Amino acid sequence: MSFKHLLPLILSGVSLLCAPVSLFGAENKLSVNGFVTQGFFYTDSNNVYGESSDNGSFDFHEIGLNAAYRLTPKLRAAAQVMSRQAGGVDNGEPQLDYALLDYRVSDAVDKAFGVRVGRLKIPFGFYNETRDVSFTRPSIMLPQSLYFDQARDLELSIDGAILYGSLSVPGGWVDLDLLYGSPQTDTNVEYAYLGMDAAGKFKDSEGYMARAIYNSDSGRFRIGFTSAKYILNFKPGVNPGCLYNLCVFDEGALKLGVSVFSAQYNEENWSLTGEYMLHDIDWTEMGGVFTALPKLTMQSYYLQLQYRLSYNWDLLLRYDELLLDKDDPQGALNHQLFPFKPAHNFYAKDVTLGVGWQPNQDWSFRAELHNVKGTGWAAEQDNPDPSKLKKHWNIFALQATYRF
Amino acid sequence: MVSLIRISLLFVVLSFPVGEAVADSVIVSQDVTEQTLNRNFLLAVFSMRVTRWPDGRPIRVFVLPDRHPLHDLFVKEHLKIFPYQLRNNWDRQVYTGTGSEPEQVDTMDGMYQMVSQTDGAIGYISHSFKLNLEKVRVVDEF
Repeated sequence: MSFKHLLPLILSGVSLLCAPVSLFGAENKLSVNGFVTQGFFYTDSNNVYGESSDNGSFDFHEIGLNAAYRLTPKLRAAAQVMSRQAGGVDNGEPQLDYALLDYRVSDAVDKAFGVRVGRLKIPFGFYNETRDVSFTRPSIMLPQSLYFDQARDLELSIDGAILYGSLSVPGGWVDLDLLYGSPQTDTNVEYAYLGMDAAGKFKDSEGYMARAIYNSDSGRFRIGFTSAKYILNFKPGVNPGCLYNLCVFDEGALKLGVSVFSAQYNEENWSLTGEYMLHDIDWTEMGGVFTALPKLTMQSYYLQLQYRLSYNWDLLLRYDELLLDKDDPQGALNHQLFPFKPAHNFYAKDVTLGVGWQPNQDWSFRAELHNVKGTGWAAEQDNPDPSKLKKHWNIFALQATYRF
Repeated sequence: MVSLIRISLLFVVLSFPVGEAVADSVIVSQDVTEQTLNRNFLLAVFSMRVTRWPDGRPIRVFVLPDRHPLHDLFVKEHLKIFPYQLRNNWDRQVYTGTGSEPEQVDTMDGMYQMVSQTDGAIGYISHSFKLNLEKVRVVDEF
């Protein structure tokens, strides 16, 4: 567990809190919020978030601190710094999670709209924007088929602009986000889409995204659609010495397309949520090892039931399924093409049982069991040797969060 | 007929500067010019989707804790959603930088103090609470 970045985070937090008292004064222009999450993961085989299959792993924390300031009634500024330690995937280095200016053009109830510029959270599906904020998640691990951790840098934030609005329509309202910008593309993106740290880098990138969520019956029923296109330009570099030139690719664009259908029904004691995603990946221009299969479509979906026993306790039951190649559900063809990866590395089926306890507004604790068949979302960074992956595995996870 | 009685009772109440409201009420500070607020507007305001009054000044929203019986009643019976949904909306906005959460007060006294002393304020109060109607205005009942 590494807390080496905790000190600068805390210092920046303290300096924010020591800001002149007048900022907090009668007009309440400044607000500061934050949270600290610590996780524990134990697996019977395969690793998640560190070497979880040995004696369990505490190699997981999420620390966030944000501030928002109202400059004028129409103009707000907000920023959040995050430190996330997650095994080999995230090293805990503090990162600017978002930093934006938000100009609210209209505040009419039937059509409120505005524009945000800067580093923005990516509005995809129901959970992506707050994926690292534990008390906004229904479970310790989000359904990995849609919110897989490996490609998180692409999904996390984007530098660009969002036009947003909330429009009255018959039966309710629609929340709308239209986004254009440049997604972050670091080495994790190479692991996610190239399966390894490649000889070269993704340089410039651009992405478009649109999300619409229809809320009816005061938000009791929500149905959403997200559509996105990403273009990541690959610049070849020096081969770090990989065998058979597996990590060598041509100069060209990796093209990604995403469509997500989301639906949720909320009752006082329970919520039923489902999301379905098709994710098109096109490696044609990059060639290399993908010449054999230059295009494929990933299919992901989950169905989730949350049951609230009381204000303090909730239960979760979920089925989550990922097919890395929709047309090859058993992974047989892909295993033939990429023989260094077992067939079960091309799918994952996860049954999750969870329980949460919130003794008060500040603290939350969760425990959860995952019974997983397949290793489609087991991160290469924590499982460097694919031949050692086991098809059937179980995860036991614990999480504690304090917010302020 | 019932609504007529309620409206006339409201007038009776409003004609006395100090008194008990006949029902739990949505209250605003005296500087707010709106006379009545409909449920759609209240839902948008308490969800923090709408952040300014029609005259352009910021809305200051005050709530009791999530588990307070009056908060529960107001949200479920009047806004017709559940407290956990409001909390989810607020959290999503606070932790994406896209909005803020209401200011929380712990007691009915605190609610009355804050709404009466803050420009552009809105909150809600129990019918058993003695209001000085020169300091706050009742804009809706539930």
